[in-house]
Amino acid sequence: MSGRCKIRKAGETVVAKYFVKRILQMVPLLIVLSVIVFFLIRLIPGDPVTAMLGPGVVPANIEYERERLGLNDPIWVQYGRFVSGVLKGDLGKSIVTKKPVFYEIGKRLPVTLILAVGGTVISSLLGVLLGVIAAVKHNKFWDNAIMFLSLLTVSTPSFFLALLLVLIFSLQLGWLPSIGLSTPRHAIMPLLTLGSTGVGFMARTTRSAMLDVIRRDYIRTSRSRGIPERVVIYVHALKNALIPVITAIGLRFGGLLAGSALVETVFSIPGMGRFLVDSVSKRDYPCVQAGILVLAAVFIVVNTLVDLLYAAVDPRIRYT
Amino acid sequence: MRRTDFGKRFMRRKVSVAAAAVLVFFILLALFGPYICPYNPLKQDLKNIYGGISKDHWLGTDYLGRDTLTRLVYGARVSLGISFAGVLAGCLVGMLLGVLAAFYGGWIDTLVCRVVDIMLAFPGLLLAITISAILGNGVANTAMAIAIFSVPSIARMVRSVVLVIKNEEYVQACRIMGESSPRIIFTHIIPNAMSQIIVNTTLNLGGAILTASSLSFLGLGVQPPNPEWGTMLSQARDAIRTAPIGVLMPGIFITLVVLSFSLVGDGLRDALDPKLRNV
Repeated sequence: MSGRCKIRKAGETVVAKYFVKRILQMVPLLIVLSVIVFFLIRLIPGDPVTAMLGPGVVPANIEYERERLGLNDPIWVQYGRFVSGVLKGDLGKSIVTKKPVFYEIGKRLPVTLILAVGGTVISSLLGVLLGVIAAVKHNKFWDNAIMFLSLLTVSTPSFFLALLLVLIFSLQLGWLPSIGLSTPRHAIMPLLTLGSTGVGFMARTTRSAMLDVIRRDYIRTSRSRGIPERVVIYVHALKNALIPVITAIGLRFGGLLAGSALVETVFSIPGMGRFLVDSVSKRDYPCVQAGILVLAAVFIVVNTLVDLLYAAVDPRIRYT
Repeated sequence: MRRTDFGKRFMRRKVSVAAAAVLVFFILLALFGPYICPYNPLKQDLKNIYGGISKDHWLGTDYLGRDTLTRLVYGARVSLGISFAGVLAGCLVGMLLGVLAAFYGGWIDTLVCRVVDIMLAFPGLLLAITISAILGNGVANTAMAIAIFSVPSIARMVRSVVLVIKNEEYVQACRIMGESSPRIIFTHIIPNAMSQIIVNTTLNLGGAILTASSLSFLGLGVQPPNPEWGTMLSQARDAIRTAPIGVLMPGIFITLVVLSFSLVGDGLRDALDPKLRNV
């Protein structure tokens, strides 16, 4: 085996080890998360059985149901049962619909993931572009205009923006449907809302990272070597400013996972956020527990993927 | 930095000065507005539902005939009150945790960091929804949810600031002179961390208004008939076609206040530490 092959193989082993280490680090975090969610739900005021059976039920029936559901068992036994259920894909049954929670979530999670991924992609593409322009035109009109627009998008509540879009594009112009997510046309306004609320955050992060990078010596060297400005900015500088931008993308995705509840409410989209909010309102404890657990677990998995992406972008991270 | 220098630096940024004026207006509105409003925000007038803009009702009436402007003015009191109370309480707890973690280190630091990490594992609104699910809805519980929601970010920020301050020479000198730890914390550490705490608290206030109005819009925060801007917007959306002003005005008020807090926060940051201007 040649020397170059050996080095390459050693490098691949380091990468593989780093990836396995990061994935294994996720396990204790998920266990802690399951413990917290399990105990937090038991802090919710009111008795789940009373909520399930409704008012006017005799105490004997409540006691029978508590016994049947195992709510009289010691708390650690209940936790063990909960974890073994989660591992088998059994998240309990909804108090309201009586259907398995797994089924309810299975219907809604893909919808929210589409919204969160779509919103993240739109805000990342637009935000990075605007952030780069702002950094290049530092302290000039475009920088100030983009920064003000960023602040405005960050400050506007997503539900207000969604209603404004409905008012203009559905009710006034009649161009777009305002309810559901059945066709790509239905998705335009929800994705635009979710995307635009994150544009400001992405633009500010990109601008700040780019301002840091474009003052470095190697950028000055690239310019002095006669490399076109476009290449210097979009290849040399942007590539090196990507780490904080990737962090921002991960955080934005997490924000949209739960934040989609607002957009789902305005556009009557049956997603996870709305499901969680409805479950809280109806005191549907198994659904609240599973909803929080699933959304937080997706966020942890996405953050781990973001960490792995760092390693792909910046080789130094794999060796630390 | 001398106080006059700070004032001059802040005044130089005109947009932040304008935003501060807007905030002062809204705070005065929240404090004194209810005394000059001629209507009761809860009194229904079913003969005048969705009444348009008129001499008597400058912004019309809602689906129960209540005066929209009066409800917006009372809503300023509720929305700003929840945010101020929540963020100040969260700031106090977060500051205490951050200072203790950074100053004493060891197991206190580990414990605080892990609790903060766990809270931040619930992204954005999910943490607020989870807290709201446990506490229940209502004005006081929404303020409490905002307080708990604010703790992790403030604790983390204060910890990072104090980690730098505690190694400064003047703090080391105090230790050598035998000053007690609480005295060092209250007379040296906290005053020197205060500028960053003020900037972050100002920026957090805008976020708190967004979170509180979002919770109320979802039906998990302030409940009707209380006039809170998010609740008002939620109730007005069914009539968005016939009476869009009921949606537009609370939305514009929320946006304006949140934007103003961000601009004032940016101005304070630039005035207190010009090095951070590009961050």
